[in-house]
Amino acid sequence: MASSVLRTEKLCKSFSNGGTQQHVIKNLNLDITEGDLTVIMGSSGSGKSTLLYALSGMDKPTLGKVYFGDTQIHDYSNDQLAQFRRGNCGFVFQSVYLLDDQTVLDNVLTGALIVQKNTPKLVNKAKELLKKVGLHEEDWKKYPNQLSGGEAQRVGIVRAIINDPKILFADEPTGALNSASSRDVLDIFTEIHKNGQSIVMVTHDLKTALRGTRVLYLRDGGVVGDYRMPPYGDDDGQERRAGLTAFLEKMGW
Amino acid sequence: MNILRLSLFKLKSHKKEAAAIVFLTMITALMLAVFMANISKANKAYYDSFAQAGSKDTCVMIFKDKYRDEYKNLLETEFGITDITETEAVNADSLDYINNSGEERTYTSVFVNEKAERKIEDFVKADKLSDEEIEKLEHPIWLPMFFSISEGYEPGDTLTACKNGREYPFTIAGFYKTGLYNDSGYGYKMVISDNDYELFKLVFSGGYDGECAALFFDSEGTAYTDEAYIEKCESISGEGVNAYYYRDSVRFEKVNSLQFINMFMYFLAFFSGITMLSAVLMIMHRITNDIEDQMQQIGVLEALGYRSREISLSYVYEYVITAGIGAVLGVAGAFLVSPLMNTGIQKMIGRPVTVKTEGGMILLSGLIVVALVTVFALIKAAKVKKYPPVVAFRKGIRTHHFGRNILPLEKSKGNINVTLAMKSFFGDIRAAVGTAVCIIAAGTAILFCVTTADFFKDGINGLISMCSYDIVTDVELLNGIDPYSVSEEIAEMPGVRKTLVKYQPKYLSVNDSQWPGYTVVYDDYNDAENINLIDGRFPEHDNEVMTTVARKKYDGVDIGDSIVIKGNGTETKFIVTGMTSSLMNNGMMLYMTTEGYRRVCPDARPNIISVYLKDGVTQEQFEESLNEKYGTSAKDSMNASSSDGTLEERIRAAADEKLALLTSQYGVTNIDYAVVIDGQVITGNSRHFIIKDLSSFMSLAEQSMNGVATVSKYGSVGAMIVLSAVVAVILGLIASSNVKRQRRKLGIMKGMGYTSKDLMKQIAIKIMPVTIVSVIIASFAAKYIYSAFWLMAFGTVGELNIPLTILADVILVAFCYVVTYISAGKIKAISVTELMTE
Repeated sequence: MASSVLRTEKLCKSFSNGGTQQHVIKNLNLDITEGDLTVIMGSSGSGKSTLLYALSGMDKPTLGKVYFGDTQIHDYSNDQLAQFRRGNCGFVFQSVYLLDDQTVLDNVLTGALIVQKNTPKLVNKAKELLKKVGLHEEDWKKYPNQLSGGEAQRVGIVRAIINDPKILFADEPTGALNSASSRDVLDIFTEIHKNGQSIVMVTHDLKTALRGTRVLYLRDGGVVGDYRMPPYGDDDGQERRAGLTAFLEKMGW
Repeated sequence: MNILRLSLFKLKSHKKEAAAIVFLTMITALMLAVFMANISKANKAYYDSFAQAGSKDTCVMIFKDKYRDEYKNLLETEFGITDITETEAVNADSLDYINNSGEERTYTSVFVNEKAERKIEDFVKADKLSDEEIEKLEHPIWLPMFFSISEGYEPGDTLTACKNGREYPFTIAGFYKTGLYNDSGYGYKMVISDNDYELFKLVFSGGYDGECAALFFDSEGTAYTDEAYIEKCESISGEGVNAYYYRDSVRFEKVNSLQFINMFMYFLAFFSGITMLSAVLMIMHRITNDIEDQMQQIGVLEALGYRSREISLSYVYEYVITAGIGAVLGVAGAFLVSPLMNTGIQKMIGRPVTVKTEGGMILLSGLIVVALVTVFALIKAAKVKKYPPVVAFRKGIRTHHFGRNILPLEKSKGNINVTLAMKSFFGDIRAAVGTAVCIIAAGTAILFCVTTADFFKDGINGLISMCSYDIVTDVELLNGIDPYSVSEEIAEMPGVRKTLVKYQPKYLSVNDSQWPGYTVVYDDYNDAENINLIDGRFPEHDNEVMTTVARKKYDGVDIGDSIVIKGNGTETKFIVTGMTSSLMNNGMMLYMTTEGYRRVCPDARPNIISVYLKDGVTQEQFEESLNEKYGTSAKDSMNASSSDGTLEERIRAAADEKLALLTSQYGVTNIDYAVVIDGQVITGNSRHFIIKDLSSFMSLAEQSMNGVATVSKYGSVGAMIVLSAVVAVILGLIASSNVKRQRRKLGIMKGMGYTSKDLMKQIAIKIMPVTIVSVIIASFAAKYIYSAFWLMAFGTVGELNIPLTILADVILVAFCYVVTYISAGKIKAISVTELMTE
């Protein structure tokens, strides 16, 4: 049985809004299993992104505990969390968040060099990964504003996996892309996952969710549904689609 | 009105930045206001005091025995001056006094009686004793206002003149308003009774002392110059008039007294220029950043129908309001400081400041600050015009990068934070120009202040080292005493390191120059210990002289040139062999060999023994041991009380006192006496009187330089602190502005795992190239300004302390790093998600 890579105990996250507390995540207990592509779904405002950021150490929980393997990260300081993130987590965002003043290759290396020493091996790895996601030498010296949305997101993915993170977090990675670009990006995620990468992905897109191995459904700050996707069969994904659709309908999606 | 509301809203959201700009503009307005309100005050105080006293603007005094009526006539015939007041005065050069508190003071004094004073001026009395009290005074003295304003004397205080060891106590009857002779360099005119005047005519004779014919007249607007006048006098008499001639004028006294005040004022103006420049550059930097940050908001406003001019004005109003608050605070500060400035100026010039507060000038300085901010803010805010709504919605071209990739990371080596900081620096190098200008300006002033504070850290020692004059105690011998044998005896005394036999220094005229030179004479300049050769070599032969950089500046005399030095009836040509600089006599010194000096003054005889004391031996200790050795010196004898002891002892003491008076004042070299009382013969002679007077260069220097040294030391430290605060504010603004401008980028990097400390380091390292280059430029600028300042202010060469400057450079760079690092600390308070989703 696969081991737990990330676990929460009574996780709470609330925000102060005009003097009133808004409780976004409420006493959430969760286990993320190693090797899974866990998809988090839910309606707008259900706390998907907030949960993702709390799980990944991007943000500190208000209450409760977060265990990354055996390491408690919920009481880390901001700088400790940053150091934790750099070695353990990769991030892909809907808005990509590339550094505007750096080239494609430099964007990837900026993420890598905070963890690793600059060696030809590292640079070659970055270039190989870029090639793998369809960005070739002529693209490496481009700046973000010279890239299409899909190209930019592919750079974002390479930047996220360059340090071989234990978990890759993705917050609606296809949310701003057209369907063709979305498909390309999802193919990359699937490919990465096949290579054993644990992924936690937030989405509200069915096609994206279909790539997962497990789907969690959030409502009012709590997990109200947890669906294990069946493995791929010979039915061109019909069973997976039907199962997920039924689950989501049950959840009121 | 809406625009103004928008500005106020922006102001509210930029409280810290606004506070920093308020600070900069407040400091600017304060310093500018103090400069503008006070620069003319001291000058006006001079003319007011001359007008109130009814004083002429010029005076020449010539020893009476050398004076000729033709000298007076020359003023009329050659220079068209008809209104001339002729009277007598006794000149007493560097006269020692003991004040009410028992402290020793030295004032060059010009004594006149009341009748003469009423001829010279209106004798307008100020603070004084009552007429009844004055009536009862045995030795009343009226002092110029300097003694009341600057020295704190009061009517009724005693002031005791000491000459040749004899004390002449006076009681201050009051103070009077005077024009001329109210200055430390030219002396103080003191009004004494007829009896005391007659006595002083006898007491003060010889050397630089003696009764003079004094001519007072107005030379302003005429062709009169001292140089031309002396030349005419000498042409009709054939004598070296300069040797027994004294002059004073409103111009000379102003130059002497206002030098330090003007220097201080121009420093204030310079510093206010630096803070103004910093404030303007910061405001321009802020407006640029604000426009870029608020591009979409600008687009929205334009879409709503606001004209770009109105939007520009919202930025301008924001900074005009900020600068206005700073200017108001600065102006208020200047009004508060004004009475203190008046007191300070009065104390420095020793004359009452009649203009209380230059309100108009203070307000004008505030307006200048606001006007400058408005102009530069308008220029920068006009940038809004470049962004029509569509462009603004797209955030202009801020995020578009097409340029060359500087420092590509694949080729980088070393620390990633340093590499990213350098990438960021080179990518935004234009923004560094403003920072560089601010750091260069403030850094130059800071390094100047560091060197100045260091120079004055040990009080006057720094100034002494720049006098090019040995630190000696001069023992003046009575006439007829062999200086060489006494010199050998003194050299053997404990506490004495060495002795040299010297000539009495003199002021000698130099042809084609209005600046007479003060002579320094050595047999061999290898014996000199505090004369700093700047260029060339010391004089070795009788036709060689060493001059100063001040003379080079004013007279153009350089090494290899010839100058003609005038003595008493002689004119002798010398070749300039070397160059030094000196703080004494406005830097106008003449360094000659003994043989050279004898060519100019063939009748001079050596009568001074310069005593070099061992380290740790004080002047008092030396005087004590000197008195032990030459116990019955003229000085001791004249001070000795004759009321104690046996009859014979009292008779001997009284006789010694008379002998001392005769030997010291009348040049009598040998006296024998015999007194018969009740058949007992008491005999004695004057052969044991050797020493006429003692003077310590260090004591004189302390009295004249201590005030300047203290003010300079603390002023430099104060300026250094204010300027460091200015640098800190500038860098703080830049750092916080960088954080704000790069929130998104910083958030992304935090997301990647860069810690707040990594990012703070990057922001701090980013300013290092510009800081290091600016500090190096500032060092060279400070070296140039420091040297120019010393030459202009004191006629001497000031050298930057290189090791200290390097240390200060390193500290300044480290200070800039730390301040920027700390100021960037607001990154810590912002969560990564908050930064990223801004």
